[in-house]
Amino acid sequence: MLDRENILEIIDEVVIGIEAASIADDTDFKECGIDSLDHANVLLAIEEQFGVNIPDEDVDKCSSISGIISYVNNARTIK
Amino acid sequence: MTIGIRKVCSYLPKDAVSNYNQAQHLDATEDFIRDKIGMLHLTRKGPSEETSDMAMRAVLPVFEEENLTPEQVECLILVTQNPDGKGLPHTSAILHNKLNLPESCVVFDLSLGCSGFVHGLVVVKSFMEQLGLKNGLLVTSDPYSKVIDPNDRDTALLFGDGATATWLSDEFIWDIKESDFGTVSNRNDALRVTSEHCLTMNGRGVFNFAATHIPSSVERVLRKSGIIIDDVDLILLHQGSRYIVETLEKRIGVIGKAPFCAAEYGNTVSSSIPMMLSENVPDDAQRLILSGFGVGLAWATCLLERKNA
Repeated sequence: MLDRENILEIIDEVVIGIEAASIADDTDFKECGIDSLDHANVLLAIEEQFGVNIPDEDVDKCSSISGIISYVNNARTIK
Repeated sequence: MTIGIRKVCSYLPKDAVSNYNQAQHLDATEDFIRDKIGMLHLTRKGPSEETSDMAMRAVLPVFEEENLTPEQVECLILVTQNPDGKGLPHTSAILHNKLNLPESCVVFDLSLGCSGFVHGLVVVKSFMEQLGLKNGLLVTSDPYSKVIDPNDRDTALLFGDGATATWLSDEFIWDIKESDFGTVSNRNDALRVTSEHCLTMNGRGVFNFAATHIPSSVERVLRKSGIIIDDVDLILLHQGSRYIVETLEKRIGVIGKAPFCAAEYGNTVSSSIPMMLSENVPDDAQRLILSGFGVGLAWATCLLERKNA
């Protein structure tokens, strides 16, 4: 199952200048300086590492740590 | 007979828009423009300047600076998807007339975007070698200012106008070696011109395509060539944005070897790679990887090796 630590690791790897550990689970990425390009990069890494597809229409559901966890774990359960 | 690259010349219009100025009405910060987009200025052709005019202004220095006359040019291939007028006649025919090329000089347009130069290198090399031609020109001229909506944040901060002319000859500096091509056509709508004649781009779609397909394309060219990435001096990646170049640098594993050079002119589409070839390659570089990617969604990667005397 995807958890907070997995996502923090990806954010640290992909996003420059952000301390991932300081991001609260429900904080929207825009509010902590993760712009649209970094957001796309984070989601791509999630897709590649966890074998899920996040279509464009679901990107808004994956705009926070808790949103990504919920979305990915639901998608993997349904599979 | 082998055909390779002998000379590359480029043309940039004098006018430009400032991205910091555009940022004000496009909900973008200066930090985002400088650090992520990377383009500070976007060159703009004049209102009456045509695609063929820009192309001509890239070709003329080849005649003026090098030992090549119009009569010696046996073929001219023009890469563009923003032709003069409606594209019929083909813009290369209009350019042929402007350059006063001989009737025997074959010309045609190549409809490709950001991957167009690398596609064009292999197409023109193959064409020339098949027909025994010794002097050809590969020209790129694709002014996206014709189709940009200045209020579209996704596209208005990226593209600049420019043109290049590459002289391909049997006496050359750069040998065109192994290559790799492909198309992800089920995402072809990620970059398109609408019925209202405006460019739209799914930025995430194009980013994902490039990030997932270019590293493996580079790997295939290296494998076909029997070399490793450490043997390559520079990777000239299409200058889509600073962000995509830096992302690909990390994914390919070549931090510091893939320059970003487009800050003062923007993403010039098929001209972006030859512009760097003309201006930004040190004299001691022996091996280059070129990789263009974009519209289609298509990619084209090749290896160039310097021909030492």
